[in-house]
Amino acid sequence: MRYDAAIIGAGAEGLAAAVTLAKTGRNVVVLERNALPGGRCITREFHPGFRASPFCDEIPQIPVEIFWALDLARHGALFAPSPISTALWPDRGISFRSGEVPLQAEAAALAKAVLSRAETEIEAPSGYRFWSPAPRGQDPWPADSWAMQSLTSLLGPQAGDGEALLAASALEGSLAHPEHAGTALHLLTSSGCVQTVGGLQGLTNSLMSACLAAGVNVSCGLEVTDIHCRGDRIAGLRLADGEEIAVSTIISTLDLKRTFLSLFAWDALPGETARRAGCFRMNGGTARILVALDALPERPRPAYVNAFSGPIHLSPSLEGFGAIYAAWRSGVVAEQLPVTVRFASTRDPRLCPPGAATLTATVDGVPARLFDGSWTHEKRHALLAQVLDAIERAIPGTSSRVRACDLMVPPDIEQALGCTEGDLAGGEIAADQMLAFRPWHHPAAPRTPIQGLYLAGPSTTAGVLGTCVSGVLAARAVAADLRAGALR
Amino acid sequence: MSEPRSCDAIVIGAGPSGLVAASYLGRAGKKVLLLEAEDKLGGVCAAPHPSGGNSPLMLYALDPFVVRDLKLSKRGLHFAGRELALTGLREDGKHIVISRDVHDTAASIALHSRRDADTWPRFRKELFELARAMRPLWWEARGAWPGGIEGQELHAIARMGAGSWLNSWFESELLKATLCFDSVAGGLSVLEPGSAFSLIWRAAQEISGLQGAVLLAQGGSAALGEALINSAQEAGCEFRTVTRIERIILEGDLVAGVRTQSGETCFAPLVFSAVRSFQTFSQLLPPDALGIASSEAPRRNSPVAEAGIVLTLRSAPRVTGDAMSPAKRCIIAEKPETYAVAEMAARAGALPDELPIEFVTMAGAASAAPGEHVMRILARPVPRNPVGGWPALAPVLAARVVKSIERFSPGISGDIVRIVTMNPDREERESAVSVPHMLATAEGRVRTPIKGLFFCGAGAEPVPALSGRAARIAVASALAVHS
Repeated sequence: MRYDAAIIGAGAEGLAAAVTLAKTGRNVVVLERNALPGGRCITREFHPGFRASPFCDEIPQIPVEIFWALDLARHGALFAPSPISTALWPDRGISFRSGEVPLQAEAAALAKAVLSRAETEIEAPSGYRFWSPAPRGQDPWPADSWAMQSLTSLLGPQAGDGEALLAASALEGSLAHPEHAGTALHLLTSSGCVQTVGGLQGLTNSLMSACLAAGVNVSCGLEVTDIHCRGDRIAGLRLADGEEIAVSTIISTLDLKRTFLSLFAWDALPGETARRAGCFRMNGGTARILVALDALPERPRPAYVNAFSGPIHLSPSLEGFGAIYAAWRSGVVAEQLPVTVRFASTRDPRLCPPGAATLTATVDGVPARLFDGSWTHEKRHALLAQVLDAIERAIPGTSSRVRACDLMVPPDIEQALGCTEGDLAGGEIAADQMLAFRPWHHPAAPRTPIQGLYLAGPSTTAGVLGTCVSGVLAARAVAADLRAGALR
Repeated sequence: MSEPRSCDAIVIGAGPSGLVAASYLGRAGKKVLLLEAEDKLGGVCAAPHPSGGNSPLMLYALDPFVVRDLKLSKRGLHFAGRELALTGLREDGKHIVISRDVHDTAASIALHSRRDADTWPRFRKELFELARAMRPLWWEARGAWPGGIEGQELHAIARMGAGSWLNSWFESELLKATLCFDSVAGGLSVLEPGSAFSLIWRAAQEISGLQGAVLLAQGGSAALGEALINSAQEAGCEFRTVTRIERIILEGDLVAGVRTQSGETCFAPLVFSAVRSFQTFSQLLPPDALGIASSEAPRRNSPVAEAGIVLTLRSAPRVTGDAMSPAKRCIIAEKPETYAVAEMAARAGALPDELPIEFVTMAGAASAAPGEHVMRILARPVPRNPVGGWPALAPVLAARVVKSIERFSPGISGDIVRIVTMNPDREERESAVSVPHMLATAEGRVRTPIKGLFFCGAGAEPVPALSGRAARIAVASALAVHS
């Protein structure tokens, strides 16, 4: 059977791309390395009776237009309303509803504007030459002025607890020095995150159902090991079991480094492409801890009675992030790490047995490569103890209720999902790797220097600010190019 | 109280920038009053410097137009060294020497990486092409952002950290670390946008014509001070020392004159401020003027700064495997990451463990006593306001710097006659660097929201520098409007 396009990775982006292409009448196959589809959007049992989404609890927004284009509602996707963010210190705490804070609302509006800008970029000029930038003057992207600002300068000179909470939610999942210019862009990524009912698996299930309805072939357990080129065009791909698939269009939802540096023969890429892919910076530094609790701990204070329904950032301080980032760059685990706790079962009781609770902790500033070697059993144990201790200090009574826990450090996440350095954000969020400059400074967004290869996923601007958007955009670019005959 | 007087223009601060502005105004036939708070003219170029000798200040490419227009060469300004090769030191003596000669440079890079040696000519060519494209914006009062391919490329580089930009060119850590030293001026991190652009600014300085990027005036910076004072005097400027400004007087959003702390009032339609913009806005303008000026957020100093050290030595210093002649600018830094880690430590108020250092020795040329040699050292990044304060930190810094240089120049600590440190908290110069400031037009940097009030100091340069260019542009821009 001959396919019009192959999609690497059955995560939300891959599945969304497949549905979009299939609806234009194309014959599409999705190739997934793991045994089950979903990528990061899965929910699994980590202890008998306890389920959690191992990689993340929240995903970036899905624009309404794409939600309806993919017909996700009909396939059962239910989104939970945006939660309350809380910051807890041992002696105090604050919380606010997302959208309540003007700066966060502004960030959310800008993120939306960026996504629609990314959409206009897929109308690439025909006959473009990839590495020569378009000489025409381009309008700056929305939020472009934030690319030169630091998070602290945007938060203002009188930084208090509220600003520390905003910074903590901005830097969750991608740590940076908040005083460095360009870190204001991190605010975009934290705005408008959503959860799905039934854990993130809920989204995957509805996308799979949409795929089924559209006639997409989703093949799991098939790892793509090589992409063949003829000149600078895609000629086909090879699977780990040796099978060859002849296909001239591929959408990769892997990150930029993985796509270019692991799927191509070393001499197949044009030199400039390999060089630029090599220079792309990853920023992996997030560990995840899944905890099964016998019961929900006491709420710390009556004032924070709603706190358990949203993310709880533990003891954030603006100065602290700088020190942690400095330690992380040197391959050292800082003494105080930014920890974000979510009582997933409070919002979704089906995730655990009645009366019990599941807790997930996102820990940043965890180096993928330690200065003194690999992540041994002892070092993992020490990290786990450190984080549980930090949780106990902010929410007393947690540690005595722990029944089981599961820790994943960045190399584990890399192995499970194939993301370089375990960076779920798909690359450092910085002025030169964001907006019009992600992954490269080039107007033809999902397209790459290899004709027939398209990039979706977190290494694109749309992929880091939205869910399903980069997949849909890549599919639209493919459809447009197929229609125009550019790929024949 | 004396009678109010009036003149055509007032210049606040008789440092090099103020003197240049006054000279240009005087030559345009204006009646100029130059006010200086200290008891002598010249500012950082005044002699004698507190260090006992001359200021360790290096002159970064004095604007060639200033040198020509003010005839500074005829006034006794000569340069002792027009070219100081940038040298990255290594303990085994395999230094990287970056000079104007592309082939010599490539040969010394080839000791570390054959690939980088091949890349060097391309990098140098591109660097200077980009610098040339930026020059109209930086050099001319009405320069515009470059269009075309260069403009697109510059937009991308403006967003890059020096570390990642150099990573995209080279593999040798020593080469990258050596080039990085110039990128972190003004408290930038090599990770931050703007640091790559600082290298382009530096290259633009280098091609500015008369001199190399780094040069030392013969007779130290006092010689420059004297030449400038001479020029301003000849232009007919009136000087007033030990005169502190209390307020700049406004009439609506127009400048009207100044009042001194001694109670004197002087009216003038043009006022040029060579003091820092933050100080000008917060201290010199009347409080009710803040409404007008609030659109202009005052730029503060970065918490990260640089410290100067002057070593007086008994004999001419040498480094392992190399004589120091011809004069070189030596950099001690292992890799770009050294700067990144050091900047974050300095930001947190600590002296970095591994401190990037630049040192220059010029046997004979620097004005030292007979038989003595002066080594000028710059350490950056260091904290501007360290935990515990500078008086306690200065000896620690000096010891660390000497120990670091000792690794490349064994025995130097036994040769030291005198150590003078110049702490950054004493520095009056403006230092914060930001990309929007670098990308602004020259007129945008010298103008203020108050009509008739102009900046002419080092802070009005894209990267704070002593060049006189801002003063030249400020005067040109003011005379164009007010003539």
